[in-house]
Amino acid sequence: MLERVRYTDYYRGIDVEALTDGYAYDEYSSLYLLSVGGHDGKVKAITSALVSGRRIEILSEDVINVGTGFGQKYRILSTKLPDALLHQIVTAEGFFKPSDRGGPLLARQNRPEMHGYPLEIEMAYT
Amino acid sequence: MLYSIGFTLKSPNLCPTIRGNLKETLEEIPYSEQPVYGLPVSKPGTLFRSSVIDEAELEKELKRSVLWERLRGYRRYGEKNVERPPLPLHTGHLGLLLASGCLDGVVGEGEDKHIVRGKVEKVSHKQDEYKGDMLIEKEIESHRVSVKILKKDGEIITLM
Repeated sequence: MLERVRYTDYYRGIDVEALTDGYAYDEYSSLYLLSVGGHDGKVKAITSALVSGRRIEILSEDVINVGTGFGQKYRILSTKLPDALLHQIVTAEGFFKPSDRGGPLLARQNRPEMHGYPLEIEMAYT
Repeated sequence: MLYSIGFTLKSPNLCPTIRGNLKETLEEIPYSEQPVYGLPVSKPGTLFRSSVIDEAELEKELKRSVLWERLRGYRRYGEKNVERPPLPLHTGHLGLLLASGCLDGVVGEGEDKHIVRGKVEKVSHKQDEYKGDMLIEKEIESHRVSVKILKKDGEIITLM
């Protein structure tokens, strides 16, 4: 089941929405992974806002307000889907390179309803 | 050989020049492999698409997306290609592999599935010694091995 992800900036009159099929965040609302699909411009707007330090909302059963982790670097993977749609995955660098100082090691599932998705996400700490 | 076939127009309003040409015998068009006249280039077709996304269709496409596979590839980033050793490894080697981080990642299947993380840290401590009246301060460096596993229920076990 897809969930809506939204970036809003009332001051600039920006309100864009796309859909997500998987995400991972910790108890401090720091995002580690977000997979977004939808129209090209909307997906880029959300991922760009996220990596540039803005907060976004995931409209799940509850509204989850998430942002980037402090000092965390992010990477955006991108591919085009049929019908001029875009799929992007935003991931924290720590996802790829475990920190020797005890950062996030890797990820597995985050929510029961997310089971069965291609990537299992869970945070583990060294 | 190509012939042009047509009808003679007998309209009184037809331009005299055209009428004159029509009465003349038309020349045969020579045969050519390549077309003599090129077709005009048309404008690219307009693509219409709906602004409403079919969520079910998008979900299918996202599951099939190549990004997930690429991400799995990145997860394996940093893995070392361990060559096949000339002799089979024994149990003692397992500890070395764990400590060096070669076996970092997900290990095991089913209920036994767990995550292993091994690392070697350089630690140093200072030690003071008296040699006669002289105080000698020594800094001793050593390497400490740490191997931890994370089980499915969230329990972290420190092996070393």
